[in-house]
Amino acid sequence: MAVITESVKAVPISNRHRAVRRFFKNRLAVVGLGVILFFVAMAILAPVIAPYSPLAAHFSQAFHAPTARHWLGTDELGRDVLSRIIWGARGSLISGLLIVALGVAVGVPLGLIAGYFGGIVDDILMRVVDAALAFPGLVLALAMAWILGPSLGHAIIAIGVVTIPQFARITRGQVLEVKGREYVEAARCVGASPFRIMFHHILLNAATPIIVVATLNIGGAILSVASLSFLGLGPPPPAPNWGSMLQSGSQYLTLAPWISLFPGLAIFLVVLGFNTLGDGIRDVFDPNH
Amino acid sequence: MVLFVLRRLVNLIPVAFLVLIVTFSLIHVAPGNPAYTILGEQASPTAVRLLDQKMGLNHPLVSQFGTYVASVLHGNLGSSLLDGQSVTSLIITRLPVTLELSVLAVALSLLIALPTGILAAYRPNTWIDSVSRLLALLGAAIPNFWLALLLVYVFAVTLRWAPSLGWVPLNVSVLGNLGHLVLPTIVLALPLVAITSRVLRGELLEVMHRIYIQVARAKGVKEWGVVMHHGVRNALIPVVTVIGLQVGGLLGGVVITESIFSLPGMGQLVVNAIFNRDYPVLQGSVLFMALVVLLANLAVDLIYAWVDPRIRYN
Repeated sequence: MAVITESVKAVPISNRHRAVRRFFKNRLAVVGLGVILFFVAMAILAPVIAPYSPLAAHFSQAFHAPTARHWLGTDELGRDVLSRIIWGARGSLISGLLIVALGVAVGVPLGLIAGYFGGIVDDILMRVVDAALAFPGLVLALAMAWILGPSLGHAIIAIGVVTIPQFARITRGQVLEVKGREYVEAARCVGASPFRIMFHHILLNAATPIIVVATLNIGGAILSVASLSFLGLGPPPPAPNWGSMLQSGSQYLTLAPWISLFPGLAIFLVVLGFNTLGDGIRDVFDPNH
Repeated sequence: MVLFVLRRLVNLIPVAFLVLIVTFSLIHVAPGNPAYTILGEQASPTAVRLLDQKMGLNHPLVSQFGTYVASVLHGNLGSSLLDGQSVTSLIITRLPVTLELSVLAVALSLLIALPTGILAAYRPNTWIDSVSRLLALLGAAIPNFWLALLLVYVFAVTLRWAPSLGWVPLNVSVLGNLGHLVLPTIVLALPLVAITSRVLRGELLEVMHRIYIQVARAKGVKEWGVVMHHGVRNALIPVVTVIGLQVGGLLGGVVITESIFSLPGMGQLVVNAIFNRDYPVLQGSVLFMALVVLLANLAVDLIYAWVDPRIRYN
């Protein structure tokens, strides 16, 4: 008897080991994880590692090309581009995470309710989702961010709201797949409440695709924030923000291309990191994809 | 098929109604008087009163919504706060530019995605597959405004191969028109290439393992014929769906691309409306784009049902 309990216990651990090993075999995903950790470290250590203040303007040193003193050059106000990118990592990463958190926190319960209860509740919720998905996400976020007024917080809210329907739809699809399984039936038979069945039995078994989509969405969210900032709907000027840096740098493209080149590279790398990480997680759980 | 089309059209009505609710309530997302939201906080009380009157903002919400729905159904999307031009006519004058840009972008993306997708599936895990995967990764992650600036810097500023900004109408000079569209088309096409080629690869890989492929080979059909007629034809349906679903993303890309390359299309209209605080133009364009997406989705559904009869009877 003791032997049996032990072997039963051992299964999830070895599964997890196998999953981790499979993930680390995927070179691209590991590189993606590395890039993300690099930028996270950069964001956390910004006050320590940034060589200059991200805000201090030195007009005499404007438009300096990359040199040993200013690795990535200086911008139109003589601010150090590298320092601004390092500080800008904070806003980008935090906004990406908050947007996806908002999408998951509202979208997943909506999808659970629609999928679990079905019928008219499902019909109404899914029509609303259809309508919401009809709007080009970026355009709707743009309109909302403008109405709320330009700030990073408002951009996060606007893009977060736009991501809700995606999570609702994916969750619903997963629920429909899982809800007919025997363990759900069994839970209902022993008298589990709908709430417990939805969040415990169904959600835990439907979580993988949601996690994958969430990871992939962080990259997309960072890209959207940068787009909004690029169009002037991000945090107002002196704040070091990748999208806004690109925007103001774009006016000096012939004179000083590095001002817009490097922030764009930072956005690109972070988004690439989250995309490859998301792909890697998906391959671990769904190798046939 | 007729029944299927009718059912789809009826399904569209509640969704379109919800879309109207969203565009109507957009301005009420911000707390306070919508007139202040539109004009800015420092607006004078007279200007606010005038706008209240002009847009009927002083009526109860329900009657405002009724008026809104009625005028949209009559094709009236309000008029610009700048010069009083009707929003509908503004959209119509700008639509051809966006349409030309989008069609070119989709065409270019297919031109690249079809061969790479097919070759990647036909020779999986070879260098051509790796190239296609890399292209897909880049296309999905590269910020389109950054790519636009890079292309302008390399091809317009440094090499002077392409004109950078602006627009030449098609009826003035065909070459000039296309020349101004080369860079924006590339920017808009890249994300589409990424998705289309990967979806096609995945589908084709699966299709090529089906029995009818073996049967075709056993009958002595040439390999090219097996891949193109039996393989690709069956793998293309999901590709059509994916392109249909990308219309929304394409319109988002249009907003960025047109504003960078100063092309006078729908996207620039949206960005200008935001800078000019021209709310009716913004609202009308958002609504118009949502309707375009709904129609694109409908078209995909219909193509699907036309190609695959099983769907009609489901």
